[in-house]
Amino acid sequence: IELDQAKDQGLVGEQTDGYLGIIKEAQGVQELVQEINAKRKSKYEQLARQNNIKLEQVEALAGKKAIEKTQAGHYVLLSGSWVKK
Amino acid sequence: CTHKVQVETKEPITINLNVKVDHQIRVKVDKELDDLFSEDSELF
Amino acid sequence: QPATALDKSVSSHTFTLPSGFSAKLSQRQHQLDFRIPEQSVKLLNNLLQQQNPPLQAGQGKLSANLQYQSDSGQSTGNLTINDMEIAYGKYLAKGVNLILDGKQSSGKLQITPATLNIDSLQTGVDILAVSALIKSQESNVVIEELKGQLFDGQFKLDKLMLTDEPQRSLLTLNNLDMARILELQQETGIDVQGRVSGNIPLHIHNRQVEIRNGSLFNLDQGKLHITDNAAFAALKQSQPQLEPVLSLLQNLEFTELNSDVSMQPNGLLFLDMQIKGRNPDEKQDVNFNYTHEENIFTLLRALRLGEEIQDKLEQGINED
Repeated sequence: IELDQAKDQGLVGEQTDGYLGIIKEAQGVQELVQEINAKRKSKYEQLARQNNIKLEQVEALAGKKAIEKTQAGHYVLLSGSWVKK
Repeated sequence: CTHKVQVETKEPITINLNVKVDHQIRVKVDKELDDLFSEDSELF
Repeated sequence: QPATALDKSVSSHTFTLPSGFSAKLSQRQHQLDFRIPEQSVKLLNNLLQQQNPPLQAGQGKLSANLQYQSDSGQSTGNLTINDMEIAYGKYLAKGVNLILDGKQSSGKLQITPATLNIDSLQTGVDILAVSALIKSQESNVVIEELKGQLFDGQFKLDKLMLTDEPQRSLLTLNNLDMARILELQQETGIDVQGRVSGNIPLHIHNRQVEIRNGSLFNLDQGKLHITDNAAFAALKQSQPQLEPVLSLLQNLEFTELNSDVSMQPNGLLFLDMQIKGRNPDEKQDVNFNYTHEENIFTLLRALRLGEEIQDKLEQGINED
């Protein structure tokens, strides 16, 4: 399943820690989320190393950015509940 | 018994610490994250 | 004086911008009246956005009147702004209120002293309850007694001329909470307690500000606690032989704090701080000399990266 499809169908959404979260289990969603989060994590680690700041700092900034840029109709995890933007 | 009063006359210790803060890092990281979370990125 | 067509005629014309902003110009004999009825400041947004830096208004109302006597060349006018929200570049002002009256004759501007109030100014640092006296002095607009709240304390700027001429103005800081100031650094694991005041001479020229021989000093006993801070831990690891001395800073009670303050027009701030304190665990007196160099403008920009001014304004626009 494609990421945009999964988001459109409300199966996955963005979290404040900069990673994708599963909203509803469905065929292929688990693998998709694991694959995307692994790629994001390696990117965050690279950014943290390059700028000698902590991984958590990059993840926090990424989380803010992801939620800011989530388009209307997609979901974000705010204080524990999935909210449709 | 005799009490031995030992008056501690420790000399004050001087510590010099110089800090220079460079904000370019945060602005740079933010820019990189902008690209990561742009429409055409396959991670977003 | 022969009767001229002007005498009896009263012509008036209403201007309306595409956004719906309207103004009325009417002329009767030698008097020109330009009237802007009370309306949303938002209606001026496409005009405001072309300014440099761009301005953008959220909620708020504006009205104005201007009379011009073509025979004497004199004019009088007033401007009323209430509860306006406006973004000036990346800075956001909320709750702006001003009633301004003024007149002009033979090129000399006179403003009757007015009070400007701004509920909050968000610049990366929140400045609250701002008020100032607006006056005129030989056709220059003058701001006096600009004061407000900052870092849970107060600031006051005695006088500011809106001119490009060089001027000096004293910024006094009173009872600022050091913990709030430290929060700007967004460093985890460093806590400081204590209050400071300061005298900061501003040298202003061509809208650029320089600080020379400013001073900060503590008002009361203070404390410095460093628990698990990444930068401090890295510092200790990099100089193992200094570790015992550096760890004195992890728990320091200080009685005296004095700092020189200077800032270049580009925003580069220098603090040269002398702290006299004591580490109670080791019962060791410490003279801690700390210098800090940072560009304040990039700091404010970095702080604002998180919150987007645009969203705040959007909310403001929808709420109206």
